Amino acid sequence: MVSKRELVQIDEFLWEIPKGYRPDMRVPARVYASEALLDAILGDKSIEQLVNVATLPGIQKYALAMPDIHQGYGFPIGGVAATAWPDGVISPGGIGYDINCGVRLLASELDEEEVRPYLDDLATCLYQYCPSGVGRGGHYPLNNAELERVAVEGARWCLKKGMAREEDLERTEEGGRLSGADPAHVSPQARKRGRQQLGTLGAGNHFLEVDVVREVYYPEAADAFGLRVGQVVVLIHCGSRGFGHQIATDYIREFQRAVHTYGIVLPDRELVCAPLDTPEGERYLAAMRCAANFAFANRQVLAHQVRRAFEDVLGCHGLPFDLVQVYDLAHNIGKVEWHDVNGVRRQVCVHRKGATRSFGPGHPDVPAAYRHVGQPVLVPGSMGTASYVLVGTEGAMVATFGSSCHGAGRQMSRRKAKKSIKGATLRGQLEAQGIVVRAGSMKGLAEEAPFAYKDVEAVVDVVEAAGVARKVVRVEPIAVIKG
Amino acid sequence: MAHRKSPFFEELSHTADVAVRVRGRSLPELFEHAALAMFQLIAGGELERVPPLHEREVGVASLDLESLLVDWLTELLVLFATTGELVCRARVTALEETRLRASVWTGPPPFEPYEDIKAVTYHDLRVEQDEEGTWWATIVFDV
Repeated sequence: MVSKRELVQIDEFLWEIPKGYRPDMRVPARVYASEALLDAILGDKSIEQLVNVATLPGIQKYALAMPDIHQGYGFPIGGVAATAWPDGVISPGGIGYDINCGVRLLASELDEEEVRPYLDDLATCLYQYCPSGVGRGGHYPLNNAELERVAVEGARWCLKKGMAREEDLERTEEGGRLSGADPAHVSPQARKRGRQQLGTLGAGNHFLEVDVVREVYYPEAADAFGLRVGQVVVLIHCGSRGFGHQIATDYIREFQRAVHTYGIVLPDRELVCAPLDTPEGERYLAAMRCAANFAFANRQVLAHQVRRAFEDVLGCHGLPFDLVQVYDLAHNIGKVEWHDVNGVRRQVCVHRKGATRSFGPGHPDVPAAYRHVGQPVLVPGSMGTASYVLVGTEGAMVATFGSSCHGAGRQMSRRKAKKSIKGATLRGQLEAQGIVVRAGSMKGLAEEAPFAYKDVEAVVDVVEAAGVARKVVRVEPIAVIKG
Repeated sequence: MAHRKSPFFEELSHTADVAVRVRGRSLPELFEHAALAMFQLIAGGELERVPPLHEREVGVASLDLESLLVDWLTELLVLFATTGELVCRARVTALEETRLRASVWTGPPPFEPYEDIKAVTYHDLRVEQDEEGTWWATIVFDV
């Protein structure tokens, strides 16, 4: 385990493990954290995993960790690594099994008081319209040809089906569609797993929340995003379901051979990788983009279902039920982007594993309506606490390959969380706080207890102080829907 | 939780995911136990309630012994994901370093499956035999 003595403090919120810490490191590793968060981070193997990331061939500048870093498999969750394009490597483990797991935020015109009287019905309707739970299928089964279209077109596929608006796509990372997706590189097993799962939340830490904006920190950005105090909003957190899980599994298996072919030596088999410009690297990139597109479409279908639920429950009471998309962004993804690397502008493959894009004002990839303030960064907290909307900064472009944190970050194992509280007790506590809960599994609910996570406020305070994102608003839940 | 009392595996502490340590008196038994451990997690400790209705033949070939364990479990996970049935009994009929054949019995769970295992990982993966001849495997699942 790495000890605090071995870290060099760069400034108040930035710590470095020098390249000399281990002979196989190609670059230093850097962690964004307050001293208190760092103490918690050093309690598991996450820093050791970050050091492993620093050994990847072609890695540029630093292996980076956001303050919500915690132990994963292979890469730590909260890790960012940029590799040289096209001769550096791509590592499926650096993107994760849940390819394009991400978050979408929808804003209503309603105030909390208007929704409260119908909140129980709304939560029940959302639970019915947005299927959740282990292996649960959705309302939109796909045949093979349709699945391929989803894989290529992403959220844009939903436009033709009447489940998306042009403005939803404009306000989604990459317009809801990564180019270069090729279903020819997706296995029959992945197709089989994906076919029934479009428009489903899944289980684990995935959720759908009805929230209320409680505080505005940066009025100009809040105005641009259409957010104000007291407003009801909806957060959707999920990914590419079995389709993405199987694509990652297939390529992590294939890359076990590729590392031998290309003579790559790694400290952990889960980090297997292949150079981007090899047939293996190109195939994975094309398949991974299919999964990413499936996830964009998945959240788009869920957004459509959420809109239906709002209309069905609130429309008959004469309330304005429409929901406008604020943003949708990925937090498990690999993207080819332009960045400054030691003074040279070049393309790199940015792996974000439990980390988000955080592009600053003026960047052409930020939606036109937000370009003067920067890209929205959505940071869901733990259930029952708070979530944040941040905005990307120029600082992130300089220091973190345009990346920021993705959530609160676990600090307690799921097993310990289950031991500490019963699901029914937790549900009672949340309801006493005025939060309506619809959950398929009480054990699953207990695993996601708020105390199992780091304090999300401490996490966003660090990224703000470090200058890689800026706080815009804080939202708090009034209804939680999960599997 | 019933599944933690199982004599052939234990859950290990892991911040975000689920790790298990499985044992077997022989290598085939280790592979059988690893499969049952994974399905006991998915079943939330209620695997005994799953009826063994369908017998299926499974064959896997891999790069090495550790990959074989990952591929075997992945094969069964895909079986669950695509049929909705849990594996409640497994018999490995042939096992070499890189090849395996087995019969598994599956059935629909009379309850809501509990653990959403996304994948079987290679992280911290170990297959080893101790001095007394017992085989041990450590497996981390992405959940």
